[in-house]
Amino acid sequence: MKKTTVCLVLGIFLLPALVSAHGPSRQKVSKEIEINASPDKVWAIISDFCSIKNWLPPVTECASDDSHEANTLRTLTLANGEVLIEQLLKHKPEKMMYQYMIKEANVKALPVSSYGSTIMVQAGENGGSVLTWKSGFYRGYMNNNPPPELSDEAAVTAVSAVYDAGLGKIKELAEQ
Amino acid sequence: MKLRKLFFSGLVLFFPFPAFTATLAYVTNQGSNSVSVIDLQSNTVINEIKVGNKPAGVVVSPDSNRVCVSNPESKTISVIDTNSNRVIHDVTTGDGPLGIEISPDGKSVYIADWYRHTVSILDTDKLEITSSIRVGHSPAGIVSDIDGDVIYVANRDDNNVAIVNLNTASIDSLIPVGKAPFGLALSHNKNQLYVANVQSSSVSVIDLEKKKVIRDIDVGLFPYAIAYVEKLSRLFVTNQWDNTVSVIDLEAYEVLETIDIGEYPEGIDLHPSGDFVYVANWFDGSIAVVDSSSMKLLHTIKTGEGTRAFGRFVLQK
Repeated sequence: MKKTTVCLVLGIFLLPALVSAHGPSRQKVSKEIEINASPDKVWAIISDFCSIKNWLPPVTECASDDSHEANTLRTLTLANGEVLIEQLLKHKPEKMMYQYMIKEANVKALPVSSYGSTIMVQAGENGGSVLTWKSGFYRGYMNNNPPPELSDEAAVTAVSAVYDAGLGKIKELAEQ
Repeated sequence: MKLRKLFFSGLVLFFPFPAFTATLAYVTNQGSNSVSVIDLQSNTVINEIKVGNKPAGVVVSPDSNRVCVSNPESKTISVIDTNSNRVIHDVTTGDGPLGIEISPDGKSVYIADWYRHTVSILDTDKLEITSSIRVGHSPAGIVSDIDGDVIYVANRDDNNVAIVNLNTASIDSLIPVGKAPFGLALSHNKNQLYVANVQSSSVSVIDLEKKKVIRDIDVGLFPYAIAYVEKLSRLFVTNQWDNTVSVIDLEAYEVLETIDIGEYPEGIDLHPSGDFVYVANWFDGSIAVVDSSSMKLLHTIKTGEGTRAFGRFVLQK
């Protein structure tokens, strides 16, 4: 009985005091794809902050106020029922880019924390486009010694898979 | 007396100029587990030194003979001899070494531990951690005052800065600042401390006599680190998520200029002359060279993967 109490008390001290820290090293993913369609056409597909529901397969719903002002939120519902809230930081039609972040990490939706991302369209060869999607983020586990599903590698793998799926779908839509 | 005079004039003849031969930058590349050595006269990388895992923080010793690097993933400090450009010691420390500073006499290295919420003190003679001081949650940037009696520590998850008295090894005061304070810079002549608040996208100016914030200046998105250029009375602040550097005029406490710099600018330091500021672009793996007077980007030097360089990384030999 006494032993249990000691263990419990120790346990409380060993718990991380706060969970707002993050992993020791930021990770990055940068993917691009060439598209045989004009930059205007590609931008028209992605420019709306909630267009993601049209071109990212696991996203089943997106809700936002349709504004493109800084700090606009979008609430994504994924096929597994998880919800992710993202916040727009910049939306620049003249540069065909926007930048956003995950407002509060949900590792069941994406195993990352402190995630910031940019998607942009640039002119490519022969009137085509180059679409780039990139981000910096920390792993999902905020303390030392992460479980494998919340490691640096797991975070990079998950984000890479999302980007490959999204870029592939945008290319398909633009080249139709 | 005559002899002495002769001796001194001889010295003057022999060393008519300060004997600096090189100005160098030692920048940590978190993705390549290395430090790039850059010659700042030619702005070229002249060496790459393998260090521990995921090196982040860096500090140069007052005599320029050593550079210490924090490796959060291997939980060590790599000590580099700048004459041979080799790692001569690896010191095991804590759980998450990040911010790093050295005392003015070069005898103590202060290491912020992101997970233990302490500052560890490394004795540079014994080459071991001799003590640690509890600070706040997830300490990041550290700076020492010029007397070596006090260090200032940004407690990222407590939204405050600790003034730590090194003689009593205890916190003298905690000063509330913005959200998620990270990099710090000190002005001795103004008796001010500058704090980059990552999540409030601002810089707090602390009056060290009053021990409180006297100004909050909005900068770009997610400011990370700060360089203070005394002769121009300016701060240069890296804005990670804006790919810019904000230049703050400390007479008016206003942003003078915003410079497009590179992707995810993080660590920042200045040339000893104050003429140039050097910025680590994490996403690009490069160092940007900025003219501090004209506030123009002059060059970008390719380094390694994930150049972070959080701390003081420029030295003169």
